[in-house]
Amino acid sequence: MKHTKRICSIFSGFISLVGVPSVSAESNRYRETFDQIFMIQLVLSVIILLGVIILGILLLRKYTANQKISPKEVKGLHNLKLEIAWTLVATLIVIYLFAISMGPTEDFASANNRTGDVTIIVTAQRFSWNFEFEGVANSSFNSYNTSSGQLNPLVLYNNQSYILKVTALEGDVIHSFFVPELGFKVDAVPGHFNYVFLDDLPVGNYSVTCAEFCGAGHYNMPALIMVLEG
Amino acid sequence: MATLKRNYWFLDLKTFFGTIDHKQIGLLYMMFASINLVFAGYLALVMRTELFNPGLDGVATPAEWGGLFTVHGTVMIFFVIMAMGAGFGNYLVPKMIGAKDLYWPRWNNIAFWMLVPAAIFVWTSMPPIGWTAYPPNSEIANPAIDRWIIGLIIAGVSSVIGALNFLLTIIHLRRPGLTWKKLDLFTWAIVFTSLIQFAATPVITIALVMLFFSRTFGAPFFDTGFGSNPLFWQHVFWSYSHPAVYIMILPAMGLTSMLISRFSQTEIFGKTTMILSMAAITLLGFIVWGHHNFTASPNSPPGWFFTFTTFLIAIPSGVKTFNWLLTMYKGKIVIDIPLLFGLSFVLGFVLGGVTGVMVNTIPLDLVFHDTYFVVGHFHFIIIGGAISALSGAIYFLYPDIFGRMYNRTIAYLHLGFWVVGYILTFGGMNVLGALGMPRRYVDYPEFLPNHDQLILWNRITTIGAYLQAFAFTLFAYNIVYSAFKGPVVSPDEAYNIAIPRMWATDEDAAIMEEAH
Repeated sequence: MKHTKRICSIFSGFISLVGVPSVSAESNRYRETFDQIFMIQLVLSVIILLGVIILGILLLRKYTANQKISPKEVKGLHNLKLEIAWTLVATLIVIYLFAISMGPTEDFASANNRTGDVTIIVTAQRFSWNFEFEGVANSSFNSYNTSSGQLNPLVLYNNQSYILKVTALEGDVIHSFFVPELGFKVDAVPGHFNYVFLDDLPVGNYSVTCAEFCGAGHYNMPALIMVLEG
Repeated sequence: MATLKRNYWFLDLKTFFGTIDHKQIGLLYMMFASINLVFAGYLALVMRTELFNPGLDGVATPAEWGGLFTVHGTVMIFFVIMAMGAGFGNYLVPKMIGAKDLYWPRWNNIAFWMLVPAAIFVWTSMPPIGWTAYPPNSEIANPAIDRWIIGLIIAGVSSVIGALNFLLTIIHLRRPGLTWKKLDLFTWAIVFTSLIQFAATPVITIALVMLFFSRTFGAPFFDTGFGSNPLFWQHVFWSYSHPAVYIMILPAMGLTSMLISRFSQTEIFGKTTMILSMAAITLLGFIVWGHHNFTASPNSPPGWFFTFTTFLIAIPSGVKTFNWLLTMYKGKIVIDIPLLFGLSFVLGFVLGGVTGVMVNTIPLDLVFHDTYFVVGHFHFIIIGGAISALSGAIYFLYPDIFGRMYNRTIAYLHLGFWVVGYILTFGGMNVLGALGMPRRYVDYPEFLPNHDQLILWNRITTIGAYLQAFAFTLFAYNIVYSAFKGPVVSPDEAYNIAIPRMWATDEDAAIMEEAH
């Protein structure tokens, strides 16, 4: 366990060096899960990659002959035990990866069966987001002022839980509501609601951007989620 | 020095358009793919140049952007990688199984020449829809989208004819005594590729016809409120297009097996497992498509099924990787250009493989989906992997095709720039995706998180792309220049290995038979 932690910290150091955000102290549940599983997979991936490269180089060095042999000497090798062994190892690894991802997947997917303190309807359109607090009259507003470019933040509180009901305007196209720092995205499909459950949000500002190609303004569909102390 | 008799068959128009010779059609496929590669690669460079600096630099406008990545993707898939695979299939399969030609030589010619109008339709369309063409975005009134759909339907029909032709050839025209068990791995790869093409392509054709009807006659196949939903398209589309990615990778896997085993002067390690792995990949490939839709409807239940089946694909892929490496074990390795390109395939395949496992993990996919991480992942496999293997195979067959030898120094330079280039480009894209940069963005505006790092990594990615372009320039120069000025060699003299070709003449077959 100690070793795993040390390896993880070495890797997170390396990763923050190359620029991927490392495990931060304060993040929400989806981002935390993302950071943890990403780190596990990254460590495994680097081990596999180094293993392949080192094995390749060793074999190249050891068996380089640079001489022609006669076709008669061409042999085939196989080793059933070895092949069964690495098939089993690969199977165990993927079952492990599958197992650790199932809990968080279920947690994210079950949002449509949850209730939150506040329900927010997010409606995407070319090329902005509309937010509306369900059941609150005249609470609808656009993510930014199209003439001044000023962002109108969606204000949330860290002691409340929220259900986001994400969709797109009838007759519009598919968009995707992407909040990188909160560790999730969910597509906004016309005539279809996707649900996201949010709680224990850390205080701070979070950028929202569109992740499904929706036309010429796809790259510029900002929104801001502002989480305040409740 | 031997003299070389040249056969300029392609200068004779009647032969050029009418040839039914599998080698000539194979070369036509390769030429067609190379021309498309130059232009589709140019589009990639235009996009990377725009992204070098933040802000809209005017290299490409937001309005043009959609057309650029749509045509880049479509052409690369249908007219470069798949066409290259068909080219090698045509050139090699009949030789390797000892057949005079394909089962239907005339249909072979027709299937190739159908690709040319298909490509013209696609090249003249530039529709802003992405190669995935998700409605309702692909239902907007724009005649370009119709041209694109027609182009792809033609390409699909050509692909089905080609696949059927290969299957019939391999089933019926094998040399006597060449049992399925003795069939080489490239031919096996073509068998599985053709099975996928034959089974899956009709699905995309139907989907495209439905999309065409919905656009032209207002048929509400993909609209909410008529008992359907835009997500319906995504399922139909990916149930073809996920198997289709294996159409692109399987021939390259076969070529890699051939390059590594020939230059290690051994048979491939664990040949039976290699065949079974390809079979497993082929079958599993049909039941994983839902992993493209995790974020499209996250509250619907079958996510776990698709993530599980996709994880399973990692197993045969891992088995193949280790079998390729172990092929060198106790071999008599001759280090040469084609072998190194084969190993470059393995590197790209592993890099794309481990990132593929990441994208498939749903909690990670919630961030990675539709970001540059996905772009980095599949480019590692298709460009770092498949293009490496195809380049290696072109070098390997060069003496056989041209009767001359290429310049090895330039080829080593090509290899170096190529490997460094693709690692920088697609590794950079993976980092960009992990930083949260969505794909299909003409610019990375300042409101995106980690904006400073986005600038740095976009620049690294662009530099990598230019290195790749430079590598390709060396490759093209080497091929063209050496075709006229390279030293004349026979295929057997070109490489210092046992049976330098991968196919066996009757004499070779007898020797091999005796040795086993």
